[in-house]
Amino acid sequence: MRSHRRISSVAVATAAVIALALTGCTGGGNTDGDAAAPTDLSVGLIASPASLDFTTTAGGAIPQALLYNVYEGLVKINNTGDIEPLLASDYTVSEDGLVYNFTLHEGVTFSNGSPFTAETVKFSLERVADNWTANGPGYLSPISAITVVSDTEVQITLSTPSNSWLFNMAGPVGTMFSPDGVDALATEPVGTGPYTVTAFSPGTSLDLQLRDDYWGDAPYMTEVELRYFADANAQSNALLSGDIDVVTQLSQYQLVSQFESNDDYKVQEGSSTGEVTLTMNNQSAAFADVRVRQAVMFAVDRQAIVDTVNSGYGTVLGQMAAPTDPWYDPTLVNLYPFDPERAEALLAEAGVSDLTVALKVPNLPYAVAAAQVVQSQLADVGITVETSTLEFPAVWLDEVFTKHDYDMSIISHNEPRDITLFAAPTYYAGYNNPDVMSLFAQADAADPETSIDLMKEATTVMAEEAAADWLYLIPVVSVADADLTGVPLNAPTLSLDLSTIAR
Amino acid sequence: MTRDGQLPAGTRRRRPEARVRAGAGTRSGNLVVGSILIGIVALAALVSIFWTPYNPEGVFPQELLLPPSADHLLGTDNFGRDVLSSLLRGAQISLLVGVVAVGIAVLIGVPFGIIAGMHPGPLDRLMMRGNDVSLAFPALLLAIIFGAAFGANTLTAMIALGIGSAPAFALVARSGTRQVMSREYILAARASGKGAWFVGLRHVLPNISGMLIVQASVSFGIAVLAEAALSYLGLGTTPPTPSWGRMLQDAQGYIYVQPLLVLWPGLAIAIAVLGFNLLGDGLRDRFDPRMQVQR
Amino acid sequence: MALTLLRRIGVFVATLLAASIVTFVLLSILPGNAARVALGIDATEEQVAAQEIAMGLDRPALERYADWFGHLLVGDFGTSAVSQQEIGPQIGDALGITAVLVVSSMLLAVLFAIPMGILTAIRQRKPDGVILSGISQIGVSIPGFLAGMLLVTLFAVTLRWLPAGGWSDPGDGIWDFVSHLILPAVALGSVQGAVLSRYVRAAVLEVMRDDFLRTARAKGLTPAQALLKHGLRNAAVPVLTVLGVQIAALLVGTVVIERVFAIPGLGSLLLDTVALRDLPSVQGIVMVLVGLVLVINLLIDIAHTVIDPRLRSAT
Repeated sequence: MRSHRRISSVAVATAAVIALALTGCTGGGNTDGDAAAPTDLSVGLIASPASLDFTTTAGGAIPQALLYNVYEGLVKINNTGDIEPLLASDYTVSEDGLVYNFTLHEGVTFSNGSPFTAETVKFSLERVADNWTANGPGYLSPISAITVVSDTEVQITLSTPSNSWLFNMAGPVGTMFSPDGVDALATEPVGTGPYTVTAFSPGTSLDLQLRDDYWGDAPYMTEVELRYFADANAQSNALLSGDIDVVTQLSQYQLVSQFESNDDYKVQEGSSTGEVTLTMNNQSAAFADVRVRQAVMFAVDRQAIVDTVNSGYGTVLGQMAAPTDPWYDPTLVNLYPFDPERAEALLAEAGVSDLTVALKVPNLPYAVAAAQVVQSQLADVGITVETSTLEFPAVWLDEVFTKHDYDMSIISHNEPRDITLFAAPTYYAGYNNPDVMSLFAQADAADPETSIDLMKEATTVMAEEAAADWLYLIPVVSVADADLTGVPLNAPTLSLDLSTIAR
Repeated sequence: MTRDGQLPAGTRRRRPEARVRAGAGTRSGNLVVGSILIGIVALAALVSIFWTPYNPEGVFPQELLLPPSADHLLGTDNFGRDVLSSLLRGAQISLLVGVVAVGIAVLIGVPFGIIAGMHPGPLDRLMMRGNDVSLAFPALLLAIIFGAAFGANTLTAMIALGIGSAPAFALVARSGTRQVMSREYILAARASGKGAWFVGLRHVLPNISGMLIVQASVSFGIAVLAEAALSYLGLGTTPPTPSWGRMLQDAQGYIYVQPLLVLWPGLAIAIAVLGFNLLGDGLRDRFDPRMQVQR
Repeated sequence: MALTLLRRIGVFVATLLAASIVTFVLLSILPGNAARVALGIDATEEQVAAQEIAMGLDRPALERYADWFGHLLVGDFGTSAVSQQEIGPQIGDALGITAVLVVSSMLLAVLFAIPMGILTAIRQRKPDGVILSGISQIGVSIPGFLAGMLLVTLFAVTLRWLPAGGWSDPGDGIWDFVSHLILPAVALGSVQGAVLSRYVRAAVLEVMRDDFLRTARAKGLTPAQALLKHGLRNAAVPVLTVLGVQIAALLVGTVVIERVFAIPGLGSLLLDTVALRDLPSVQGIVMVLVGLVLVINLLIDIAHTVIDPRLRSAT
């Protein structure tokens, strides 16, 4: 039951994806008289971690702060979305894709001084099944055996080949923990990463300090303050007045032109893995008929949503994949062009008139805004939408996600490559197509090239069957002080990777 | 010094008539201006039931953030909606919130206060302690909890505001009742065997109605401001129903793009609240019995 | 006198008890399973059930209440169900910030309201009095967060004189502390000041019509002198009441300003913990708020009797 049950973690407040921070300290009152540029950084974010333990607390806010900065795994995802070695200096895969051999770096220590060895790898991965309740414990289900070959060599055997397994190992679930460092994960994280947490005030700020015994190349910034703003306006004002150095994921796109025309700031736009989705409950009376779902797809003008909600920023989608995913198919974007007449024709064909649906959205600004556009557009084709705003996370998780008590909802799905989770019959979308699930399973076990073809086939079926309306990909617009460099362009993982930021 | 207001001989006197005239001018000035402002708001709400220049609940992607023009007198917002139409429809919500919140507060608080005022002693003390407990839960706190419990929308907000404002009405009703109860004709009525209910309804209520109306007027203004604050926190009216508070909250993000968007709902809120406060001031002056005395 | 004090304290404790029951019942109606929210969407039903037992959610209500209240009386607020941090220190930090904000803004309010209120009352029928009165009326009609918004846009973003938000402890530097405090305190204080000045004005007007004041004037004093010598004491009573109510409302009411200025005060802590269904924290915060309001009321009562002996016999 649990072996293939992977459920992605869904959107986190407004800052959907990790944008890499542009570092830069300017303005404000914090400049000291040093000749060298300051090495402290202040980053503005929106969603705050609730605790420091992502093994038992869901959401992207904790990995955003801690993954790759405080915690590390055998591999990581770099900024262009490719897998790179991290704690493993090298790895090989057997021909049949079942045996992975990792060679580990030597001299790696945790922040509490404990050594990192192959035993640590075994310990960390084996404790997932019984101790983790969040952030994808099911991702390790392909593992059938972990063998410690020597202090610096470990062999992991899979029961079936899996293309996604190594990718997931680069995420939170592949994090390495020390046996003596797991007692107080919620308040005292102990990892091999370059930073330690020196202070954490939930809802306000999280302070990171560079370790002097880090095994790898030390990042430039020695002190990083992650500041959390409940209000996006307060965040923008803090940036404009010089209180913070960078906003890694600007949510007020209407301000971009203002920043661009200001020489004190550098603006860049990259891509994320967050798909804002208008989910239609395939199991509800309203949307059981594929023609009704397709009608909605034709009635909703995705570009208009992007223009209204995001001031034009964001890529219109037609599938649940990011352009950085290998199986992304650009032709699917135009499968359902904006065509209200066709929508009305489909509704008539399905014998539906005077349809009323309940749109239950989380109380996140982008969702509430997009809901108003959707309501207006569906009204034009004769579908009455009753919008209600549910408190997120508590009520939305309960009503929509767990109980499936909804007709439509709008939320961003942030985890990379989470289409396989979405297609699961027990997922809240209620999409049930065994052929598609079988395609995904085959794709995971096949060789990379065939895998891409199979994934494309599966995503095309899902698009043709209007499993959901994937509206747009969340853009990653970062605004930083002009003297910062190395701010990551894209956000292909949950992590806000601070290692490349310099001044 | 005599009790009927006569000054001792030798006091510098001003011409009483002139003073009363000038005073009356200011007093009724409040009343007049307040009534006019409220009248405007009420008119806007009434008209919007039947007609608004444009649809304030749609989305018009071709007309985002337009400045004021002949077509759109106050411009359009970030959804392309005509600001004037949204203001008109928003007046409905503001008045509705005021009416329901104050209504609930009156229905709960006034009987409570009258009963406490009519029975000084242990009952009064107990009820006042109960009042203290409810005073400890200010309206905003209740709105946050109710919003989480029952879903955040206009109705929940109004009920929370109503319950939160009830203690103030109870206090006003109680102090007014005690004043009335000490008057001689009340004692006479009780002595002649008239029952408590009779005394309460026939004598107390009409006599304290003045101060209750004043309190209601002030509470109305507070309710409008509270709705704005709740909308800012995301606990108020659900979109796409227009509400001045939410318009203000949405406009905040565009203050560098189209600052006028902040001005209009802010002005509307200020006019409505100002109107209620002036009305309350004017009514207070009107109902104050001492103003009848010539000096 | 001692008996009265004792009785007052007894009433205080009884009220606190009643408030705690109301709080507990109120919060038990919140929908959304606290265990589910803590564990998130990956957790299975069995894990959620186990978490509920670990959080003690399966015990009968009376037992949970007694356990919680018992700990509360000895000052143990417990640990947060979500962050695992101790609740007491968290509330203490947030309360310290809110208290500073409330006190400083009320000080500003009082400094503004008293002269303003007296002036507008004395010069009630003169043009300048009417204009000043009009200004304070407008001040009352503006939502507080609008004032904050405008202040930030002007002083922080455009002029860059002050920070746009955030908080700095006094220990980290006096100028940092003051510069972070100015804008929110002014935003809050100006609105509260306008409200308070209306009450001061009304109270002063009341007093001006009183008999004994006319006696003073008959003796030849000007209105201002008469007021200062005799009237203020009486005017102070209702104004103090209003002050108490304002402070009590502000304890939570600052949450809007806290949002605008990103200040980690008590109101924000409340909103955050409610959203996470971190019930132990929410209960702790609400009880602290209730306790503070009752204490403030008590102090105002005592102040009343000090100022006006005639009120001593009243309940």
